[in-house]
Amino acid sequence: MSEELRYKWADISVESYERDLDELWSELQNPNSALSREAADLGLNVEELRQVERKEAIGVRVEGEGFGGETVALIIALAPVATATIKALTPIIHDVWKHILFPRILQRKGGQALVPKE
Amino acid sequence: MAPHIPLSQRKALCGRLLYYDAFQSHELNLYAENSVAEAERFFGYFFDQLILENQIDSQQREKEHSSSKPRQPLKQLDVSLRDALERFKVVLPSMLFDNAGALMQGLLPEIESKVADISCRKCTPFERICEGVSDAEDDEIVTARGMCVVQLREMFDIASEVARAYYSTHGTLFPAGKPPEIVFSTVQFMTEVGAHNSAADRYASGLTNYFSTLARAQVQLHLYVRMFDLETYKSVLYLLFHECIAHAFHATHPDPKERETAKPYERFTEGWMDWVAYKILEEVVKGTGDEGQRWKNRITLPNVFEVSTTLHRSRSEGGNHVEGASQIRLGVRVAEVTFDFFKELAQRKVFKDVGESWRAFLRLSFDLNMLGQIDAKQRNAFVGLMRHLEFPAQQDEMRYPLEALLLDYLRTQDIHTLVEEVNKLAQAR
Repeated sequence: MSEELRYKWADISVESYERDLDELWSELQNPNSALSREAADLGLNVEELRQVERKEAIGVRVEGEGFGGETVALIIALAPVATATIKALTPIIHDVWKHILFPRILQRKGGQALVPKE
Repeated sequence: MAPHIPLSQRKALCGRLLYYDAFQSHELNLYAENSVAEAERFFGYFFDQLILENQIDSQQREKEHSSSKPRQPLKQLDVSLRDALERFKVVLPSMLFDNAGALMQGLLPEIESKVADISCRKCTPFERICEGVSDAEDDEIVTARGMCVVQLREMFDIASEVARAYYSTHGTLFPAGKPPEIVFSTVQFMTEVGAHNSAADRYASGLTNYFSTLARAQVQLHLYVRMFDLETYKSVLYLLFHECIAHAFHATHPDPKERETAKPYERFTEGWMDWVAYKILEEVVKGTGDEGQRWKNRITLPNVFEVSTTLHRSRSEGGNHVEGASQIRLGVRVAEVTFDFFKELAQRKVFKDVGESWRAFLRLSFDLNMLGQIDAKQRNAFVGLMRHLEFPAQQDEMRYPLEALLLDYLRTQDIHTLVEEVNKLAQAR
């Protein structure tokens, strides 16, 4: 089942998040990369994600209008594509986002880049 | 392996750490010669050169993005530090200092020597060095050795060793055979650190994350590198004590994989356990207590406890806009009151001395913190009920039943029954 996570707007373009996600996803495609080693260390089997396009697994969009973080939200959509393959991979996509990609985005863009919107 | 501040910002952080270490070596001389203000101006010029190195890296990245090229290696950290230092030395003669001798003959050679000691090639245990192409690859080096942040890692090592030693000695629920792992991570903030430990004008904070896949706590040190100053540097040990003692072993019993990161307004973890972390820090810095003296000689920064005290107090002051300050204040107060009650038991000869009272209080705190079967709400309710220990029995009818429950617990050491009975008492009110 797909899941949408809402974060406060941090004045960073969607394209910039997409670019980071693409670079990180590409590192995960390489079984010998440090990111793949990190996933293995965390007990995450990312083998099956290597047949999946990043946008099929994780999408990014903005919701709302305005200038402030109150009315605008950044939406990270996990498993946004409703195919049987993606549905089956939802738990691992969720874990990879939470334990690998989310911290790496914060690493690149700073700790305030993705603050959950309550 | 855990994420760390990326290479470009790590250069500035490393430069600042080296400068403050050099400053500490000459602090007394600088005070004696009335040159501290000048030293601040002096390091301002050095930090400007570090910022310039960061800008060079940013420009390279922007060019790569605009031409859709993949990331290329950045200038290595040791080279950037030396370049910054060389430019700094070029501009220095044009700066007017009243007491240039103390700075040029004392501080500058010390910084030069510390910068010269940094070698990316010697630091790495692999064939490669940090080059900013893959953050994850660089993190493997920083995690394995990371000489550029060695001062911070040493403080983390002390905090995690202390937490492990105290929990394994005093906590009855501590899984001695296979204790949960604690790993160190650093996170950059581009602006003010907005978390709960940023009170008192410190540019650092902490956060502990857990994993659903393995028994591990990741202690993150959040730093606003551009503003990282000496007071912040001296606060880091307390921040790491807070994370390691209040959070690293939180809810580890019976399953350390099912844990949730604490909210900043939880009166038990952020208040009570923060007070415990602060008191343990006092033992370690002053070398007192049963185990405190083991780490004393490894703490090289001066005034760490004094600086930490200001930060600890400011966390519960509402005026500092700390989220949940009133809840933190209540947690701290109730921890003090509960320990006062335990000390009273030493006077009543239930304990043989105050040392035994402290050990029993630590056992209660650690076991309550490690207990995974209760949630934050129940822990907070526990703190709420313990508040009745503040009042004498003539004024508070809860006091006697509460005392009876605590005395039963001290006899049996059964934390499950204590929590259960305290809950019943709270509901019966």
